[in-house]
Amino acid sequence: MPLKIEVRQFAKTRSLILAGVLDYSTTRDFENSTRQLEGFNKLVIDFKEIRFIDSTGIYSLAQAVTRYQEKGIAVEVQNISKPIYEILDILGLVSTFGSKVFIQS
Amino acid sequence: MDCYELIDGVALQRKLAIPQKIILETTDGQKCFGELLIVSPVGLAIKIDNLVSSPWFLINIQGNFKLKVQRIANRGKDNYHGFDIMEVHRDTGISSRLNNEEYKVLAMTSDQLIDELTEDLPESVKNIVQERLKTELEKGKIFDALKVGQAIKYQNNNFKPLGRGTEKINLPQKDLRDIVQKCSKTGLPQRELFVQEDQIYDVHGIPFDYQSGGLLLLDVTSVINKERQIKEKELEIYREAIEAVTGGRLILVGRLQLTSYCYDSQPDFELTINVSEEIDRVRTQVANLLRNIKYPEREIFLFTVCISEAVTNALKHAGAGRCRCWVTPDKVMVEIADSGPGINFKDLPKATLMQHFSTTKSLGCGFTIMLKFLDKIVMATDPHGTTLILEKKIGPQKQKSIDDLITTNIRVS
Repeated sequence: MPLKIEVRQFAKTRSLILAGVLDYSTTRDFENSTRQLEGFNKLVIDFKEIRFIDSTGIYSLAQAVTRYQEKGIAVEVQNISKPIYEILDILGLVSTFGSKVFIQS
Repeated sequence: MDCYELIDGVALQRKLAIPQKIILETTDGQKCFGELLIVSPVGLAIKIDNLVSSPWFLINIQGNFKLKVQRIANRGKDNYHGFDIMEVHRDTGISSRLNNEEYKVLAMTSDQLIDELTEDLPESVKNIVQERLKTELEKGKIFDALKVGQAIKYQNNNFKPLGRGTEKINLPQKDLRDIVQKCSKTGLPQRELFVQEDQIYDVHGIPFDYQSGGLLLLDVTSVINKERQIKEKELEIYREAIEAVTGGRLILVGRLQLTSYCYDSQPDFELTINVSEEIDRVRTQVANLLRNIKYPEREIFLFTVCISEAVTNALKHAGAGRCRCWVTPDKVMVEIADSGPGINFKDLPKATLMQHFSTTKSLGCGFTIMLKFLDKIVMATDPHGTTLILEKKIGPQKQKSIDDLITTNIRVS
């Protein structure tokens, strides 16, 4: 199942609505979409329709969060399902970035 | 007994500073090992422990010339024997006595020879030349002392052994000629390993010019065997350490041991993965099999994450992989095999045990997830590929948690 990415814009907030899987086969699409964003001060990544994630996807997600935080842009990954949140927690992402960045549904 | 009485030519008798090991060959080809003690242009005094009777003997001196000698019957005592030189065979002909150069080669040490040969050089360069020659000589002595191989000089296609007391290595001449040809062709030193029966030889070819050079043959069997033992010991330490650290959940095995951890029955499904899009097919197939036995959705999700990690590794590092899955009443087992370069020993702990996420790319994430969730991971990795067997128990204890998991609506795609 491929990854669908929809970009929404509201004032100074950009939202990436993701649907599908974020794994080795789709991380490049995700990375490209996050690189093309400009002119905002908050980024919301919506995980509501993400059904699967692997360590490659988690790595590129963490890289995107780090990159924008370093630019002073607030990042929220919202609507994370319980099993995916569990994987992020196992890998230490929640403790590294905080539960205000990774928000469970 | 005075050794000087053993032979004639008293005025030019010279005792060797270091006795030289020589081999006397009888007329019927038997060999006697001796130590040359005294030399004169017409005779030799030799210590031989087991001298056999022979009308005369042949002595090959460093491959340069041959002496035909006869034992002087009434002058020897115990193991000390006197010999008359009957003939001296050299490239230029035969004579009945050693010439001056041959006498010096036998009677003088290499250092003494260097001093004598360089005696007439101007003072300004004499010390430099002597020092250089003696340095080269010391290198040669170290090789001789090591007794690890054989040095051969080649000229066109003729091979001439150099040095003495070195171990004779019987490599096929064809192999040696191949190296010589490469040396001649490229003008550069060449090196090759040869396996002859159970022995391993490291052969170095050093060209002097386009048709001559040197060959150094080293028997490296014991070195290679020792290295193998060290590698095996190293792997054993890794195995024990990794097994202990993971509470016995990650087991490193050799390729041959894999069969004892895997079913030999027909798998419930089998798939070859060549492109990343096919990873999803593996996940879907495994998830469907587990749903058929009413396995909890959370567990299905976590198990498919583990499979996905292993299949992704196979694709990343080998370009392709093969996946087989068995589901039994008590466990689910998935084997993922690839033909990649394997995981390097020194990367094993990092690849398998690195905990927690790091913003720098790490190999460890996949294994962290697998070790957290699975009951057993069996891994065989070598330069021919990597095989992982992932195992998760399906027991009543696990089924109990269904209620707890019912709230999750996640379905594996």
